[in-house]
Amino acid sequence: MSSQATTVHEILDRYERQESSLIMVLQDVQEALNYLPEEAINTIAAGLGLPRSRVYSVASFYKAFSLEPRGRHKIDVCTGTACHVRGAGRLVNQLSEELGVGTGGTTDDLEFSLNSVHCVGACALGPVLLVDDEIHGEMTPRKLSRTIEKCRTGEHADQESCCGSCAPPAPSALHQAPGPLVDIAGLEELRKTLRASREDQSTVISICAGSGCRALGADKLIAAFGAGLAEARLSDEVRIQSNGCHGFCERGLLVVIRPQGILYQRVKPEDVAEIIETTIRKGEIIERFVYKDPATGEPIALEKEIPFYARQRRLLMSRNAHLDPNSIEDYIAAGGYRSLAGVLEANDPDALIDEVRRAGLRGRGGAGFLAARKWASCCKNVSDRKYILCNADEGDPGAFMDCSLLEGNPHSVIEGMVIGAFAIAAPGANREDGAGAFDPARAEGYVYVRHEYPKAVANLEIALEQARGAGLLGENILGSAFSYDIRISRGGGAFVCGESTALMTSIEGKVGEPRAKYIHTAESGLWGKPTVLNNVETWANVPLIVEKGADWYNTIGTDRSKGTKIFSLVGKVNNTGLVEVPMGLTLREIVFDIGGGIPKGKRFKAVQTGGPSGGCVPEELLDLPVDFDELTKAGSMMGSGGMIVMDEDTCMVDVARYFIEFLYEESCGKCTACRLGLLNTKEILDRICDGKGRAEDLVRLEQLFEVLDDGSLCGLGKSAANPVRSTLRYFRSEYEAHIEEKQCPAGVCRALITYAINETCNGCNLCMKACPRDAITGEKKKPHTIDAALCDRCGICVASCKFDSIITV
Amino acid sequence: MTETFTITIDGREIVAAKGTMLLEVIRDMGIDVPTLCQHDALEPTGACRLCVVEITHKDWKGWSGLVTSCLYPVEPGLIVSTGSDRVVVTRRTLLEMLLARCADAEVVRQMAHAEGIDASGFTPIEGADKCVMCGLCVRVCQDLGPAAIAALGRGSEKEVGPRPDKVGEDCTGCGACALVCPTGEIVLDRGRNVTRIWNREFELPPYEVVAENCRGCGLCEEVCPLSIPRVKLFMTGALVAAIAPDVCVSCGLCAGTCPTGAIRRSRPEITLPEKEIKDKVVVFACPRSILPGDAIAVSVPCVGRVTVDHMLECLARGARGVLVVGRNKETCEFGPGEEMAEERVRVCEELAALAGLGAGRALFIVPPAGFDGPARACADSEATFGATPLAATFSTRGNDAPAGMDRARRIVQWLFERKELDPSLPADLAARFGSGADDGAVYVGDLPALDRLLSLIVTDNRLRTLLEDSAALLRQKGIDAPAFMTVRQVVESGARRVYAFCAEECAPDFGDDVELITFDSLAGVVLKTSAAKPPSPSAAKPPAGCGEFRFRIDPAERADLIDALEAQGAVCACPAQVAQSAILDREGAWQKGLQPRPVMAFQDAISTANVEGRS
Repeated sequence: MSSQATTVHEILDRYERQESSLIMVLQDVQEALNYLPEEAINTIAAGLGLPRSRVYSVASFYKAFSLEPRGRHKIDVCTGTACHVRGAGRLVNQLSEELGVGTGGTTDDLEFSLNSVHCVGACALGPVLLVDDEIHGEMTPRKLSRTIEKCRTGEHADQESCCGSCAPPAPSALHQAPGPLVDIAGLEELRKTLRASREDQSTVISICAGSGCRALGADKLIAAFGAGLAEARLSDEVRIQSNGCHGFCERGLLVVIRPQGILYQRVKPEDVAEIIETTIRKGEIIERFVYKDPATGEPIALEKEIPFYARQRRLLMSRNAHLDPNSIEDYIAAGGYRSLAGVLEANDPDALIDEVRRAGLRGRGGAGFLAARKWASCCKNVSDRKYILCNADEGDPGAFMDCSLLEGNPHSVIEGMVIGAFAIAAPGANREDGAGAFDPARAEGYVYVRHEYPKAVANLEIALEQARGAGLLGENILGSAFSYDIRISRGGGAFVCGESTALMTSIEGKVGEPRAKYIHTAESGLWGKPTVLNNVETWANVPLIVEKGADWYNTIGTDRSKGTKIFSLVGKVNNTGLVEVPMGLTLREIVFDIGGGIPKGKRFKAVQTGGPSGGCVPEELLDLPVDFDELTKAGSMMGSGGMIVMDEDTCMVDVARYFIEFLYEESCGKCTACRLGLLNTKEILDRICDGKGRAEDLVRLEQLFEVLDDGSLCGLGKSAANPVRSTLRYFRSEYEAHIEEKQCPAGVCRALITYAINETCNGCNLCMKACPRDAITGEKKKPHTIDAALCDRCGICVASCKFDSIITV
Repeated sequence: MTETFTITIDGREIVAAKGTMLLEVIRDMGIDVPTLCQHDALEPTGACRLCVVEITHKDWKGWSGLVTSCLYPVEPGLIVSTGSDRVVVTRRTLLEMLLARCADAEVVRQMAHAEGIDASGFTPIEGADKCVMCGLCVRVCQDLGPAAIAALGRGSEKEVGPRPDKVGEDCTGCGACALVCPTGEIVLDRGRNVTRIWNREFELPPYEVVAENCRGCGLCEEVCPLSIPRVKLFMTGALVAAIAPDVCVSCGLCAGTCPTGAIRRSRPEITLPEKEIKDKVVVFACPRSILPGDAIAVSVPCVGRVTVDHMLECLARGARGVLVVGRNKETCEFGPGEEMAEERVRVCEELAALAGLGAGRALFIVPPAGFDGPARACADSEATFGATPLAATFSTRGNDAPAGMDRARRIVQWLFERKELDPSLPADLAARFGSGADDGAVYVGDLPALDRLLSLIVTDNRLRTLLEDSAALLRQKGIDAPAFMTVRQVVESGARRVYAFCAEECAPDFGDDVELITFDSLAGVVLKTSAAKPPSPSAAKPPAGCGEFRFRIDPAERADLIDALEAQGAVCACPAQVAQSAILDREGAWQKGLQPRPVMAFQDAISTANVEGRS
């Protein structure tokens, strides 16, 4: 047997040759072999007992797979919304120029494969580039050239292997899970012990290791603190805690020193010694790491007093900053799994569902459906098996709160799911169906998570293992009669799989095409069994509601939208990051008070919410209270909570085209309305942006909106018109300018602009070097000029100029 | 009784059964609803969206919505409109977009015209084909066919796969995809002998029935995946099957199953190569396989039709080996053919080994997937064949024996006469009989039938000698053997040990006193023997269950019966059980959804049973 075949067989065995594991088998085979060679596909087909055509079908449906050999270096440009508005398009232009291949292509020498990915959750660092899965933020043309050069010379690979000493130890070795707990008393006992054992280490250095901070080198910082404390002989008194995302991505790397609650921002590994000496040992604050109010310049040392945090209500996010995601002890010490214990003790699933109903918990995944109603409806359907699933396929570009929750606090999601599963399929609850038969359902679970979130997958895997080991998951949870286990299903890179029915077919290992929901998934979902699906944030809310009660939960939020919502506040905003606010806060409060307004004093234009299914909300609606219903009324939607701020330099037609292009690429193509509706919408918008718009195009768009709304099979198509419709509703004049005057008022649409260099140019030569068309000329230290005939308006010069001297005219 | 609901469609009240989809009810009312992705043989998927209707309900507080009627089950009190403004607007836009996408598709043009659209306002796609992406072709292939094609990619870039250059690799040329394609984009070019589809060419002449050999048993009707053969009753009272040549997809299953060999390809059946094949390897494969170009390849309708004599002849003519190339079982819908081939290859392989040609001369292989899979597999297997030990080669000239066992026996006999070969008795038989018979042991079996079979197996006829000796022994005791004997008589005769030979499927329970040596019915090879425990000479009573089994065969019907039994591989006639197993096999196979396997024809089974009844 060839070594390739051996590898494939090993992978097949890892998944017990289950048909449903096809997508994950393909991922692992691709990981091992760089792509999916024909022979590997044949072996997989034979190994799983599937026709080869089906394997090809799946491999070609999901974006993650390549049937052709890929380059030694994988270059992925993030084209999430936040990166898009920060100029990801120019990165793509430059890379295409330098590598000589378009996106999806591989260089002839098999050195580089260039791809675009939709959001990697590092929006604060946009525009972002991934080189062999390593995030490189705040890309400029020069930085980009250097990065590519480093790959060519092999330096990039060296960097990865590093010295070895700064790599953090494997998490599982760090934290030994406690032995199985056989009853609730045991859990409380453990909690007491854990808390007592930590009293010695009263000082805690919390370091954010969320996706954004990791890209900035959080791992190295953690290692530096470890070494620094050891050197200062403080390891016994001071504990280092590696956290998930704290939320204030804009200011990473973030270090919080407790119990004082001092926040140090933009910390580098070389600052560690000073911090240990001055702050840890002497208790003095180092002013240069402290946040300063941009308006007054006044330093604010305490985390809770910083406006970004002070205006939030961080029910979920605050826990991220207080525990190590790989430590079940941290979670238990902080009161974790107490809600589950209470639920098991009360043993009243109906009352539990009622509590969640009274809390008014609505699904955080987009549509805002009442969670308790789903659960109750699933209860009614008698079956031998029921599935309680978690949707972590956070596909909305520019949204990464689910990633951060799963990465930063996986146990809260697990606890929520176990509680939900108990509510739906508690043993002995014996809910009767109409015919008097008892429901013998056994509950099983999956978390469907994007493969683009490897850290979230890894942390979740560790957490599941720990929960299982502690008797909090699996057979006879906490010694009760209730059993429930959760498995991980990794998605293959298809936005449509966030749709519930598509997600379920994808878990089954098939092409993620949605089906009509005339028969609800609560009746017939995964493998035809009654199924409940909620997203990460919804599940994370459940333990909270159980712990504090529906009445308390009801005090937060608006009349019909209860609780808090996490938004990823990104784009043209000062304080990029994750913000958690009570429902009903106005957009103005979020964007200006928490988000700190628009950078460079530019003018606010719109905020896009709800991802590709949502819409753009204009300035005149800034006082709109943000909840499910108000956003829908404004022609947008809550979605999973992406909030992309746009300023005067953003072209709304281009934004609409961006979302339509995204949806066009992500449409599964099953139904005519969505497939051809998006094709034609894209064609019209492309035309308008290219300056070839026709007068009747806007009428045509209205016609397409109707067929998308009414004719589409699933939510992707049904809501696909929103980004265009909302921009057309609030920014019609921009469309008209494109069509009638052939002008792009924001100076974005390539075909409609001309670049020029103004008098602020000091002749630094950077733009000249960057221009791939040699359209820029000029002497050093004298203002340069652009030859409009040669310029193809790729925008690389704009990105390379440090003085904003290149303007559109 | 099925529950029914009353619903309102376009103002008319209709009663419909629970579970019925709206589309069915609407069409039953005579209302025309265009569809492109719907087919009665397949589950609805709601892909084309053309069948949208607007539904509402008096309890829905004025809410109404569009649903695809093909997927929406009837609900009590549902109010349906098939031609509301919303429905018409949606349907018209869909058709207008389809018209821009596939202007050449006649069915789309007609549907659009019916909605008053003759030109599309959307930008037409240059050089577009007629595919409306309804998905019918891939669904029919995945659900009912060999799963050779599937959708590749996503969105409007979707195409038919496995991959662009590999479409049709696993295709069997059944043409179902072309049959269901609503626009005619998929073309099945069905010539007289060659069928072209998905860049493949299949040599697939239809099958026909030779009327004089057909007994009208109906087995062909049952095995045909498309139920094309039909048994007809003629004025003369004869029951004869007929196959319509224009619809036959040439799968060969009927031919492989026909007990009388009455079904054959309209073109010559299997023709062995006339050219010199000494020291070559002969490959048998069905026309759906992609054969290696340089092999001496015999295209056969289905590998299930390759018989022992075909393969033996090749070996006797000096071929180094015989390869029967099956197809990937996942993609071959004619599964039993492969099982039969595998079985027969084993018989041929064992006979060749017995005759002294050496082990492993015949191989059944299922090549790995891929266009070059068969070629690679053949090359690998060919390497395992050594040179033939035969000095002379078997001549087919003047050989008028019909195909089948007679011919096979003739070839084997010819092989046994070859001095250069070193024939061998199978190890287990040799151990048992090599040193001569046990004193007082009696061997029981239907001698003539066994004789014929054994002549194929045991070259020195030692077993036949044993049987003849046993018969003589019994005759001395006044028992008329072999024409008539019962185990009871044999046991009562005081034989110390009784060996009974029979085929596996009719092995009777003789109790512990008889050692039963069961033969594989097709191969005539010893499969197993029961635990040998000599009957006690002092046993006063015969062992239970022994007396009822008769080995009598009416001499008048012997010849026919032996033919029939030989088809079944029966050596020891236990007619009732043979008949029973034959019938059960035939019915059970379908009931249990198992693949049918060739069994004795119904009439044969009955007449066999009758023989028993009369005696």
